[in-house]
Amino acid sequence: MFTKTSREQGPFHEAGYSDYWCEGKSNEDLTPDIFGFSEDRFCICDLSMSEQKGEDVRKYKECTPTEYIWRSVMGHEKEPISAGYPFLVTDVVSGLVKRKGYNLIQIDTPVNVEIENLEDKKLEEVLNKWLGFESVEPSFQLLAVPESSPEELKKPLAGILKWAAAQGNDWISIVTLSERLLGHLYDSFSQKSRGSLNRNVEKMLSNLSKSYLSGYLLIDRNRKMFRIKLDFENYQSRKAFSDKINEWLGIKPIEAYFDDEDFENDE
Amino acid sequence: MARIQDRKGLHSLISSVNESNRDYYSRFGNWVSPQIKVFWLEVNQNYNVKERLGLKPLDRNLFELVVEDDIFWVDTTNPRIWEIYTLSSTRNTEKKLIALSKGMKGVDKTWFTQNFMRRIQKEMNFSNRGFGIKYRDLLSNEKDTNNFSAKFWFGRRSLKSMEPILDNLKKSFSISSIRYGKNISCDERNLTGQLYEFYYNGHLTVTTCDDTEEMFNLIRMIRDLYLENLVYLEKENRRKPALIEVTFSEEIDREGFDVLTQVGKRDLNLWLQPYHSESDINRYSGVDMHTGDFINLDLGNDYSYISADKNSCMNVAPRFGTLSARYLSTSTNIYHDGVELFV
Repeated sequence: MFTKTSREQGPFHEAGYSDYWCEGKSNEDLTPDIFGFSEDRFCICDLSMSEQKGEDVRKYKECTPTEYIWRSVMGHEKEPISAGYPFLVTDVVSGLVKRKGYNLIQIDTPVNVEIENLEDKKLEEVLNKWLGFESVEPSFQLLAVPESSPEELKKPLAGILKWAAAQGNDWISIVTLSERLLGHLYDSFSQKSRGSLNRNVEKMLSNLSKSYLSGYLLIDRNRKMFRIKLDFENYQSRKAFSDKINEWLGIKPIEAYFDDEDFENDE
Repeated sequence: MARIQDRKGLHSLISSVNESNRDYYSRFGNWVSPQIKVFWLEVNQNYNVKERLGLKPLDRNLFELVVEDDIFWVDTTNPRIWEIYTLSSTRNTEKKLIALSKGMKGVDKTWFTQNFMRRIQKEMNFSNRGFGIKYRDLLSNEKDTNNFSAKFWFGRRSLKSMEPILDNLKKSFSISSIRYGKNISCDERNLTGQLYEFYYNGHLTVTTCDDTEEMFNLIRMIRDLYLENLVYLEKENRRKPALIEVTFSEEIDREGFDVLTQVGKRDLNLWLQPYHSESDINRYSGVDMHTGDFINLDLGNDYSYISADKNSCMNVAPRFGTLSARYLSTSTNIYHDGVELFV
């Protein structure tokens, strides 16, 4: 919503809020998901994928970014003024009751925007005429949510395991996997939900170390760490590991017609 | 074997090679090897690449690397983008120097988009002297992949009758190299001017040059402009999650892309796993093997979004963009926040 691609412009970007900062501390020691910045204003967005978050968002009503954020990070000379009430941005379509003290944006089409208080009239105008995203939104590293079931976590986790296999046999904390699954929004999920995701991930790793990835995956239960032993610079090793991953996911390997890496240089 | 001791020696070697090439051409009417080649490598610090490559120090920020009979002079004045000079053939350099660094964590080629190559041409006020096409259909997983390569060299002006053909080729295929120069003149068999061939995968051949100082300005400009784009993207990515958008002028075979990335094949250097598929988009996560950075890639029918960790190396953007152009052979453009980069 704060970015622009060659084919589409997010509504905040269109209204001049092209700069943003995730998970920044406020002067009130609060941490909203996003501070958005235009030339002279700031806005606050909190993201939610559940129905209950409305109450929480109200607490950001008087929230202001620290000087460190607006001056040192964003490069503003003058302290930006508030655009108005904070926004609850959610993909929840039904079952959500709008309460007092914040603005609501339901991003799934048909988009629903309910403005309760907005000083920035340009932003209000843009949001009121916004019809939603025309093209598929980028993932921005959000691969899963804490509520994802182990079955839903398998595919996102598979790519992360490839990343882990390329870390030179280094020990990696299990929490890192959850951080990768939740991407930039990791800190915005509650500790409880992150804890439940960590437990799911740990269980899955443990099963994998005894089954499909036995011989590759080692777990240190006490330190909550794991590592993958693989000569990842070797094509055959990567292929063998990829085959194991595909076997775990139940994916039939695609037959590659150019499977000899030294077949020919690209140039 | 030409051996030099220091920077002065390198500069005088390059000047004399330029001189003797012009002399040879003036007398016999064709070019002679060796010609000077310049390769740019993108090197991430903290990977001890100098030691791992076995570079022998010669002078301040100048190193020598000898592989069998071939000598490479490595200028690390800019610690991120190294300039490598050699009199070896491109093929030998690819086989020896590039192969030596291939797969070495932290080292990558530089990747020049068509628009970047054109930008350099414009900045240097060079005239067109030809172009090359090198297409290999690696994005469709077929038994017999299509390929097509050709080089078109022309004089000060292309022939009128050739223009529609050249225009058509430029529309149908992306350009893998550009030949350009200035003030080329061969009056009374005395050759003057500059002529270069600039390749998408990070190197340049000096066909002839009568102004060595300007040649070094060109080499430095290429390095600095490339670095400027990289550093900008990385700075943006540290401030906020940056989204790199790559657009293609034709549809991608997404299954072919799966094949290319599922085991991390070839120069693309991406080892990915699809985690979400819909009719119009596939989403992948995995690793950029160049640095071991975690990346996400969304692939639509004719566009792609890449996002990476906060401190990731952004050489993935021009690499993915230029190689996609090679494999698709149509134009690709790289954007950040709606603004085209590497142009």
